[in-house]
Formats: sequence, structure tokens, C-alpha cells
Amino acid sequence: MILGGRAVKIGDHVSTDQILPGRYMSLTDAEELGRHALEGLDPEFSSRISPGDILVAGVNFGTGSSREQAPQALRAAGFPAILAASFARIFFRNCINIGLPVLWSPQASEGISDGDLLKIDTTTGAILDETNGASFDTSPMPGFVASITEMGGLIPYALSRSGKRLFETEGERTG
Amino acid sequence: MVGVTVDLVTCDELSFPQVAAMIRTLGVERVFDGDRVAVVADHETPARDLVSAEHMKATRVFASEFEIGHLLDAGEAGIVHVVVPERGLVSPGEIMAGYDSHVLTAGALGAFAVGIGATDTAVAMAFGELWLRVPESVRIVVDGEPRPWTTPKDVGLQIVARLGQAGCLYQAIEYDGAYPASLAMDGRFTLVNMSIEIGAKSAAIEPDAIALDYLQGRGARISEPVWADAGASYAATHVFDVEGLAPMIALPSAPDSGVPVSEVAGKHVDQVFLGTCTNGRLTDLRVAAAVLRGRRVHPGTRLVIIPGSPEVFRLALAEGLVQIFADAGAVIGPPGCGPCAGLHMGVLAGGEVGLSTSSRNFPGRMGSPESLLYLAGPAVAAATAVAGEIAGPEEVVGTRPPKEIAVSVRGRVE
Repeated sequence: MILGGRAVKIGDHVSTDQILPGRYMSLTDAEELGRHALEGLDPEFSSRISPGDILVAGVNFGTGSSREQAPQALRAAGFPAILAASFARIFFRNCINIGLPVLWSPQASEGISDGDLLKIDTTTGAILDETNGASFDTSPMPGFVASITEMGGLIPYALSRSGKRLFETEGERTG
Repeated sequence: MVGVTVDLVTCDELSFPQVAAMIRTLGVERVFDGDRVAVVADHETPARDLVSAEHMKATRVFASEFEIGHLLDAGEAGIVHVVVPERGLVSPGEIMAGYDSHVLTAGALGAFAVGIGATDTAVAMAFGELWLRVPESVRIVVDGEPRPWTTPKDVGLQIVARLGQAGCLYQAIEYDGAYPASLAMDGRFTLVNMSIEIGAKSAAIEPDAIALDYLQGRGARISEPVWADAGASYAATHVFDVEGLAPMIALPSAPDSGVPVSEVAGKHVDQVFLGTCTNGRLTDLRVAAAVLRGRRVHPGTRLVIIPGSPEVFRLALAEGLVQIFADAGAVIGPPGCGPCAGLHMGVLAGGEVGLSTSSRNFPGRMGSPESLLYLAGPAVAAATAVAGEIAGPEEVVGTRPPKEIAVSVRGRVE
């Protein structure tokens, strides 16, 4: 999938408590979640962004709580993909599991400025900063993880397996 | 990337409604194995408002319909990370996954325990399967004898401060050295629990006689402990000498900002909270009681104490600890997470300063975005409540805790 959008930059170690404060965790309406996205970082955040913008975070993005409402809120706020210098692991897998493409690149996070126009190929992991001309390569997701994102998340993926083992794997463990 | 079969899947009650909806979408009639699925009320229990009351009601119906073996609610409610080991639901060498970042706590028993998200949890409860990226392994070796009042929490704060919030990102930690081996289980849970604050995927301590003794009589499955081969290679080995380490405190608003308590002594604190999956166990309450016995909470400060589980609460009652807390003027809440995530029973107002025994203090974590939160262990928490300002136990009580406290913290006292 090729995505184009304006970069919205935020800093390092932004936690899920800032992405979606705990008091909104019982919200179930996507639109409402989206209105509170990153409210803990900047109360006016949702008024600064437009649908299609690409979030560009620093290191350890999504640290802290495992709440899946955090990536859900970011998607509902209109981000079609998230790029970061690095991700906290539960947040990272939550993005994959809800079908929100994630790109992991310290170079791109450093080289992209707030407001730059980006073009991203979520399949190959290629990133182009059209404003300053810089390009960055990230590793595409391996194997079944790529399928999970492409199918729109782990639920559609699991439904597509219809009774088969969910994940093709070496080093399988049972019991 | 690998697929694994899980031995136990857990979820808390606040997060379960989204998981339940996804399990229904998956089209299964029951969970994959009722005995290996636990839903534990801890975040907002007893129901804090109408929304949580309705969610819990629906969860009880769902658990019965989908044959969930362990629905722990009301008098059985307590922090999932405290309750799961107490009930012997996980054993050394098993794979446990659950919807919460502190799930890795069970690694203190030598399980491979990982935090996952809602969708993961739904799929794992429905099919017993989970995808995992095989992590790099790192060793954290801790040796030395800290000061008498220094608890495993202080050692954990020191480790987090030195390695930083992303110090072990996506890695599996093995704790090694004389210090972790010397700890009783309560302290091991504390140390392993804090590993999420350096970004770890999982963390573990080799299951030894202390771990196996702990599980005795708890109905745990017989399992095959798994541990690293001698001479295994690691992505990194971090060595800590905690000889003489003084009690620590993490400053607002990052868990990796730990400094010796003396550096910030004297700062006013509005509320002290003692509890959580980090420090809500019997040993933590004993340490706090040793400070609070015969003393009163400072009139300008509130002290909220929340035991981690019904078992902790009962034992604390039997030992007279609850009496000590009540006499000191503390508020004592029912077992659960309390205000840790800014949800229930004692959140902070704007402009307030809190001190908590939990493991994280990100901006706005315990309530208002305008509140400030320090992190410390139970001894510093209790001393601060008495002083009304940040204080170490040495200043409030004296240089040495009573002997029985040392014995409680350390499984082996040389």
C-alpha cells in the first residue's frame, strides 16, 4: 500500500498514558477515542492534525500500559501509518494486530521534520521525504506478520485460517 | 517469528469487554481450555460507576457462556499479577500471556510471561495460540548487600535508572547473581515486575527451591522448569553491584529518573499510595508496618493502602498489620490496582504531589495531567507518610529495621 501524507512529529518515550489517558479506556466509540488521541501530550493535539497525516515518533513510542485503545485512538484520529525510531513492544504488536502499518526507522525519525510531505510504501518499507528529498529503507514485516497487517489485523487473519494452525512456524511448542 | 501454544491467558475486567466482543466475532462457542483462562477483576473493582458495573455484569454472563474457568470477582478479586501465582495458575517453564504490560511478573517463578494486547488475548483465549518474535536474551547480574532498609524496589529503581526506559527494549531478561537468589518470592516478583519499565518483553529468575516451595499447596500444574544452558550467549550482560545502596526514589515523570532519597528529602507530598502489582504483597505491608507502628500519618498528607489480593489482605489482618495501618490513620482499600492507572480509589487532583509504590509515573498516570508523582518502595512510602514530606526510613525509624523484616524480604539471611 502506498500512502502519502504530512508528517506530524512527536518526541521520545511517549507513553500510552499520554496517547490515551486511562480515564478514556472504557470508551468504545472509535470516533470518540480519536478525539482524545495524544491528549495527554497536548490537550489540543486532535485540532492540530488532519486525516491522512503520518505520525512520526521518537524512541520507545507507546511505552507503558498495554491498552489497545492507544493505537485504536491513533487510527481513529486519522493516521494511516505510524513511523518511529523504535517502538515499545506491546504497542508495536497491537498496531500490527489491528492492521495499522508500523515502520521502524531511527534514521527516518531523525531525518524527517514536522510538516514534511511523506510517501510511504507499507509493503516494501520504503519511505520518501518529498520535502527534503531524503529516502529511507525499513525492513518489511516477515512472513505471517505481513499477512496480518495486509488482511487488516489479527481477527480477519484468524478467521481466514478456518480451523488450521494460525501461525506457520519453526520451533513449535505444544502443551 | 514463531507461533506458540499458551499455557495460561489472562485479562483484567476493565479490558475484557473489548476482548469478549472479539471472541464472539471469532465464532467459537467456548474458550480453548477453560482451566487455562483467567479473567480477574482488579482495575475498577468493586464497580466504580455504572459503566464498570454493566461491563462486569456482562463479563459474568460471558464467562459462564464461554466456560472461562477462572473468573475472579468480588471477594476473590485482586491484582491479576498477584493472584495468578498465589492460585498456582502458572508454573515454571510454562508460557503465559495476558492483556496487561505487567504480566511479565510471573517470570519470577521461571515462567515465560508476556504482556499482549486485546486482539492477541481474544485469539489466544479462543484458540490457545499466540505469535511471538523470538527475543534476544540479556543477563542482569546483581550482587552485593544494600543498606538494611533498602528493598527490592529500590534495587529495581536503580536498575531502571541506569539502563533507561528503553534499555532492554524487546529483550528477554534473566536475573542472575547472589541478590535475586537471596530474595523471598515477594521481592522477586517486585524485581521482575519492574522489568517492563526498561522495555523488556519478559524477565525471569531461575526457579529454585524458594520458587518451588512457594508453589507448594497452591495446586499448580506439574511442569518442567526451563533455564538457560551453562555458557549460553547473551546480547548483553549488565552487572550491578548494590553494595551499600541507599533507598531510591524516581522523580516525576519518568520511572528511570531514580536518585537516592536524600537528594529530594523534605519535599511536601499530598498523598502516599502503598500497593500495586509492584509492591502490594505481604512483605511490602510488613515493611510499611514496621515504619508506621506507633506512628501517625502527618496531618498534611493522606496515606492510601491497598493490598494486592484477598490472600495478602487476610494475612495482613491476621498479623495485625491492618490494625497498625488503621491506627496510623491510613485509608485501607479493597484488593485491586487502586489509583495506579488514574482510575479508582485515590486519584490525584491538579497540582497535587503523590508518592506511589507502583512502577510507573508517566505524566498524568495517577490522575490529573497537572499532578506530579514520585516512585519509591514501601519503607520510603511509609516514612514519607509519617513525615508529610519525602523522607527515608532511616530518618523516621532508625538505621536498622526489626530483624523479622530482613527475614521477610530475604529468603536467606546469611
